[in-house]
Order: sequence, then structure tokens, then C-alpha cells
Amino acid sequence: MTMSDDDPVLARDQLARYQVPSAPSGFSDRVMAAIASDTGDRRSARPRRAIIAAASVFAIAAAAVLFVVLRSGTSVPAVDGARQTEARETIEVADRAVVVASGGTRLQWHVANHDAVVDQTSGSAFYRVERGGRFDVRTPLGVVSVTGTCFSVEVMSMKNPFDPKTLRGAAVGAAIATGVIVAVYEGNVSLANPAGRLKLGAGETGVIDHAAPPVARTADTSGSGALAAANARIASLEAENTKLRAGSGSAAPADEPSDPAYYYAPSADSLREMAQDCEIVYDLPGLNGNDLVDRDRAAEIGISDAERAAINRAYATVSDRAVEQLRHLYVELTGTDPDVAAALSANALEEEIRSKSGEEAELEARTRFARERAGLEPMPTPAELARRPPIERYLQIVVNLGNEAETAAASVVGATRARELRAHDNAGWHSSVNQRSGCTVRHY
Amino acid sequence: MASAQPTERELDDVTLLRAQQGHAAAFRVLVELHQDAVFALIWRILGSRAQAAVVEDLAQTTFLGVYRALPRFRREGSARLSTWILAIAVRTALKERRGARPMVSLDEVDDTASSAASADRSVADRDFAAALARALDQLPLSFRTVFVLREYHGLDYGEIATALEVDLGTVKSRLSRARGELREQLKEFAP
Repeated sequence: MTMSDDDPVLARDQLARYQVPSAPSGFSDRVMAAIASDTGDRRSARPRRAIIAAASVFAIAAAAVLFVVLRSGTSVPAVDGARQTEARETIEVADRAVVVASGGTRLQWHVANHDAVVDQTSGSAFYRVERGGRFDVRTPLGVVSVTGTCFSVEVMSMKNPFDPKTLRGAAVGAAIATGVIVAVYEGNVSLANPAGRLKLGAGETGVIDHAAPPVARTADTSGSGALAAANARIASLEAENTKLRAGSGSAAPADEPSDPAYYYAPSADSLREMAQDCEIVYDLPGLNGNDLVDRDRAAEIGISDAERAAINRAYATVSDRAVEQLRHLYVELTGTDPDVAAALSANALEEEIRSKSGEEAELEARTRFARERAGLEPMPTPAELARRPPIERYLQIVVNLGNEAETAAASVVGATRARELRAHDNAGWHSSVNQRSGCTVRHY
Repeated sequence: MASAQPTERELDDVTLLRAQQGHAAAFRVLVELHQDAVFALIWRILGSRAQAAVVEDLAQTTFLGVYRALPRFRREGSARLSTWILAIAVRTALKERRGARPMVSLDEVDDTASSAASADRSVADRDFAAALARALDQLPLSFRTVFVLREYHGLDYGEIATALEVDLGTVKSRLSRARGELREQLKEFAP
């Protein structure tokens, strides 16, 4: 509401009549190209004396490092650091880890020969650890050891009880007044104190308490704890895998053999059958930074190395954008600390979006989307889609990714060869995905 | 078409952080979220001097400026990202407007902007839009800028003061005078 709303001549609906053009299509592409050009120009326009100065500094620094290496006999100089955070802060621990620490976190670290030891005596911190050596987080109650993973550590005390709003707090409940809570997002960690040792995998949470061996904790299943949902999802996937391995799972659709493009360009009949069963079938090119086209497939189709490289570059842009969209959805859905979300992989984001949306919401989204794909209901406009739940927008992103990958490939080798690449073995891009849980929610 | 709708959507913190770290895909999301607001602002500030190519050049300049300054943007600061970007766009447009001569006559304003896609609009709408565009164009640039930021982009007085680096009182007086002059210019359309 503005003051002009009270004025009949200058009311907002009157002012809205003075319309101006929106940004033209392709504008963002041109901005990105200008930025790339600007960055390159600025690099190449760097004054010669600055280059000489930089080279001199580099030479002196290199000599200093060499001196330290020769003198100490170690391959890499040790790095020490300490930080007491007052607000949320992102901290790099040498080249071994990025730590996102909440306010009130006290950290001290020592890195030598790629082995890192971090002392976390208070507060809460999320760690993304690069592989390449030991990485130990020492807390007042025990040690967390990893070799490359994502996890968080929350040190609680009577003065600083856990925050019930955090994932870890929600997971363990209010039973613990002091202790260390470790939540693992990716990879594996081990917790150890003098009383024992515990290994944790992705999606698990462990607690180190006084004088007792570390224990795994799961969410209160009667509540809405995130871990309960994640565990349910993991259980559902494991159950589905077991069934498929045993050959007792859902049978392949009857029309699959007769519809060679079933996974990447299903026929109208296939789409209608999928809609009847509330199914969505699609091919997924992958979102983890892998190449869209590997050497073998390129060779079989007759794609040159240069073309393959160009296709993979084009797809990387598509993939990056899709992952950004997933992060956006994840934050919208969970309100999670953005720095934590920024460190999650595409797989972790997908799993989190699905588990936190819940089976019922996913079924509803899948049913509607399947009917829209089959032409049984009109496809949503972009504005309508923007109002749909995150789980439905997630489905749209991953289902459409195959087509976007094909478009990216076509921009390099043309539409016919791009389709050949995708249609290879009738399997579509990397993964063929069946979301065929049927029209009812299955509880595990 | 961009109308008198304030910018309401904000970039999520994750994408913002990644854009600040230099991730191209994240910055592209930022551009796509804010480009229409930036274009609308530049079109309306340039007024009779607006031409599509010039507006796009200035919008590109704006986003280049955003890209360079983004690492210094503090999301916990007082300014919203959208307001911060509009402030850069305002400075870019004002620089252009102060240094340039009119490129089209006032009679052509309706052809370049206000009726660029107005085939389905009524004659009365088009007449008012053209009159409004002319009236805005005749305002002193400082008044016009304050009015556009307030009425078309929904900035509050404090945000406008920050964006234009002027006092709050100056914003209020410029806005009041802008409204007064527009009412006078448009009195034939009063009910």
C-alpha cells in the first residue's frame, strides 16, 4: 500500500497502465557472456608491472616454502588456526575442510601432512571434509574421526543447551542436557571416547555423553523429526531394492518391450498407462558433476572428442542450474541454514526434499504430474507451477532434465545425433528411474 | 510487460551465497530473478530517452556492477538484495540520463514504452499511459526517480534514502512534490 492508493489519479491500478517492456529473452545469457568477457579482459589487461611484482612475490614465497620444506623435512608446512565465532561464519581449515560454525563456537586446528585435528570445545559446526588424510574433531567428551564426508558437531553444556530447532535437537529430543551430537549427511564417521567407539553412516545421528560409549540416536517416530522421515525413506528404498534383486518386485510394465522409447520419450499410450498407476518414468542424466557422454558411448555414436567435450560443457551448465533449483527448493521446504544447504550434494538434496515432503505429498504430486504428462489434465503455467509444493517442482526438475540434456547435446551435434546419444540401448541417459509406488502410500 | 508491481521475491540465501562465491549458475538465477525489475526501473527513469538497446546496455552494466560488488553485499545488513540491486541500477541510469540528450520526442514515448504491447488495451488506457509517461518525463529527474522507486518498486522511504544517498526528509519532500506535479499534469483524468 502506498499513499498514492488514496489518490484516484495516482492509484496503483492507474499507474500500472504505464507499462514498460520486460527483459528480452536471452538477456541473462548475454549478461553471463559479458561477465566472462569482462573477467578475461581484466585478467589480460593487468599491468605488466603488476605481473612482474606478482611473479616476484610468488618466487619469494616459493623459495620460502622450499626453505621450510628442506629445513623441516616435511612435504607441506603445518597450518595452525583458531576461531571464536560471534555469529555464523564460514571457516576454511587449510585445504582439508570448510566449516560453517554457528555463533558461540570455539575452534582450534592444526594441519600437518594433510592430517588435521580440530578442537571444538563449544558451539555447533557443520563440516565438509575433503579426502586426503585423517580428520579428527576433538570435543570435550570424545573424538569424531572421518576420512571425507559431511557432518555436523554440536557441543552442548549446561550453559549452552541444545537448540531444539536444529536437526540434531529435533532428532535426539530433550533427554540430553549435555553431550556432543554428531549428525552425518554423507560418508561415514566414527565416534570414540574412552568407553567405546561407534561408526555412523549417512542419515545417522550419534551422541557422545559422559562416561558411556557413544550411542546412535534416531528421531522420535511419533513426531515430525527429520531423521525419522529420512530413515523411513532409506528403509523404503532398501525394501524396494531387495524386492527388485529377488525378482519379486513390481513387474516391468507390459508395454515396455513394445515401446523402445519408454524411458526417454514414452508414447501417448505409455503415458496414459503410467497415469493410471500414478507412475512417472524418466531418464536421469545425473546431477553430480559427471560427464553426460562418456568415451564409450561417444565412440559408438561417432562423436569426436571435441564434440564430446563441448556436449559435456553444455550439460554442466544445465546440471548446475538444476542443482541450484534443488537447493532453492530445499531451503524453501526446510528453512535450513543456507550454508549447510550449500554444502549438500545433489543426491543429499534430492533425498532431503523427498523425505521432508512426505509420502502423501509425493504421491499427490506424482499423480497430478503423471496425469498432466499424459494430457489428461492441462499442464500448469509457470505461474501455476510456482505455487505448487516443492516436491512437485522437484519432480518437474528431474523429469525434464533428460530433455534439457538432449537440448544441450543438440546444440553441439544437432538434434538427430543428440537423440541417438540419448536413445542408445533404449535406456535414455545414465539412469532409468521408475517412480512406480502406485496410487497408495506404502508404509514401512 | 512490467507494471506497477513492487519487487517482492528475494533470492534465497543459498543461491545468494553461491553467487557471492562466484558460481555462474547461481549468479544467473540472480539475474533472472531481478532482470525485469531492473529493466522496468531503467525504462521509467530514462523516459523519453529510453530505447531498447540503450536500456539493455544499462541493464547489463548494472548486472556487471552487481557481479563485481556482490561479494561485499552483506545479507544480514539493512538492505534487501533487491533494493541493493535497484540502487545500482538507479545510479547507472541516472549517469546515463544526465549525460545523454533525448533520443526520441515526447510524442514517441507511447510507441517505445508505454504501449509496446498494448494492442489489447483500450484507447482510454493508452491515452492515460501516454499522458502519465509524458508527465513523468517532465518531472525533475530527482523527483521522477523517487516516485518510480516508491510507486513502481515498492521501496520505503528509508530504502530510497539509502539508495539515493539523500536524507529521509529529502525523499519525502521530493515524493510529495512529484505527486503534486503529476496530479496537476493529469487533472483532466481525475474522475
